[in-house]
Amino acid sequence: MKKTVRTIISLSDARRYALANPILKSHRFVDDLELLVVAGIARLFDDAGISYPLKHGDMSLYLGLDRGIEEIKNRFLRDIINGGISMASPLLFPYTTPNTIAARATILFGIQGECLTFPVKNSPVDVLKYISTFLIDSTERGILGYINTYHEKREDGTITLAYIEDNYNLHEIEKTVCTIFMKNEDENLR
Amino acid sequence: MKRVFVTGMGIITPLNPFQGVRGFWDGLIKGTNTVRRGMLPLLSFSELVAMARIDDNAFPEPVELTERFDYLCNYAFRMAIKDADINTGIYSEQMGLVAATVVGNVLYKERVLLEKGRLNQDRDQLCYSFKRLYDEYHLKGPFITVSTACSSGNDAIGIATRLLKAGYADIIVAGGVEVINELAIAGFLSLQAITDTLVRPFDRNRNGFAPSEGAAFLVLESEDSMRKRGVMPYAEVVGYGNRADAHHLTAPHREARGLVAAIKKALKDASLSAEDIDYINAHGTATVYNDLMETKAIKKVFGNRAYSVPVSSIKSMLGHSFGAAGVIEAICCVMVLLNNILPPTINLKEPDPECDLDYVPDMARERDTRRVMSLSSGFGGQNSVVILERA
Repeated sequence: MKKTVRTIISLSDARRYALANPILKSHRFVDDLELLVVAGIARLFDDAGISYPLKHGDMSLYLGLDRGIEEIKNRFLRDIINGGISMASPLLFPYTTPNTIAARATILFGIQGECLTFPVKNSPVDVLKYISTFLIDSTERGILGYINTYHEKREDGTITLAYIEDNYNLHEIEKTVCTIFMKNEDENLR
Repeated sequence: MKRVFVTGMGIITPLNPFQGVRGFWDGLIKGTNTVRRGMLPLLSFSELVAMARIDDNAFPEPVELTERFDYLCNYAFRMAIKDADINTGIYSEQMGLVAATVVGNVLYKERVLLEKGRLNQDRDQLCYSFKRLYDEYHLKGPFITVSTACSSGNDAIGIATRLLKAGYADIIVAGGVEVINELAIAGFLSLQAITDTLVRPFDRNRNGFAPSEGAAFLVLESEDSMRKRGVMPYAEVVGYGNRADAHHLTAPHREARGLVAAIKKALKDASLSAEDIDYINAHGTATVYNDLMETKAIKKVFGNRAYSVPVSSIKSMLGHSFGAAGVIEAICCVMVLLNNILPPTINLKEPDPECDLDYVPDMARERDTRRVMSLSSGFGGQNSVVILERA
């Protein structure tokens, strides 16, 4: 099993990956963000050689995301503005909170460690650098990720994910995370 | 390991709003109910909804609905740093901000969508108001917005504490802000989670929470910085735990798997045992499943001692302010430590036979209190626990 693994996946790749994955292919996704996160983590685990659902509560998930969640809120709000309060969708409502996207992954993969979600405006590097140090404090291993739904050159979003096991000191973890999340996404899309 | 202390507090809730921490605390120990049936702020529905909203007339000046979030945020932040006697001009280099919200300034979005206008994409972000605050005070330390549903506030405190312990800053202001809005009310009505009358945590007839609003900030500071500045602490943050249920998007794990793990983690973080805790501030939303799950979690961790540790829910008085709730409740916990008085759970008339702990019903109670634990749980199976100790 690898100690540090990086995965980056676009939404179109995530769709293909989910269809080919025995656990994900029967899963119904409410929103593309959910699909992106779930397929991204499945591929990260596959790349790291980790079988899932997990059997122990020692995995944490730290997820940064841009304003992609706002589009879900807009959909939800337009329904009630146009049709009244009875048009509020109980299915869509949970997805108006950013942590639901991460929560979906915790349920599907059995991630029972820490789960923290961070709305990020521009670069996620600073936030993830700080948060990566939590791997020392919380559980032995964790996933750090960033969802980017806006890109000048592409129509679909991406998620960049890193799996890190606690075999580092603080300085090394910071350095690894900075390297992973500062790389140019386009160069690394597969 | 560095120690982290609370050196300043700022708070605005529907309970004696804009009257500082003392006004908030006086209202709490009197058992004041702030929940009323009211109209939604922007959309005209015939239905009245139980909610705890800050009276418009209580604001020091007229504030547009779309500016309400920013106003509460700025005002409570200023209260906190003034209370901590911080001159941001001197300390901004070593100061950070960790702030929590679930829906952010959603009233701005609602108004723009209602008027079919164009959203300013910068402003239409959860971290927008907090970033503006961070920039306005020229802070240079860590800046993080956290959104973990109803446990966001506790997570803001926990994250800030860890960053201070790791040496990323000397001072971090941790806070949470939320405003009453259509999105949350419509959503929770669709899930039948909102009460039609009173908030009755742990009562046999409980039928949901009342949405609320508020802003609260804690100034958290390393021991070195506090001593250098010559200020006295209110309390020490000694433990934090966060664990996921990994169970359901909207319902808690029936056997409290995540909350039990979060409590154990917080105790371990604080190097304490359940025997050391003198009071528990419950999440206590008054939904059927939360209160039952929370009671089970306390029993599982505390064993027989669960029956002798007082537990209360101030949401019975204040309603549920989602991302702000954890920080508001942490300020309540600090006041418990300072005053040795426990706030009551009001509206608890017929206890649920399965919720059989000491919930401090109706009346505040005096009790020597050295360490307190504050619990939060939220959508997505979020669980977060903070432990505070008398300084």
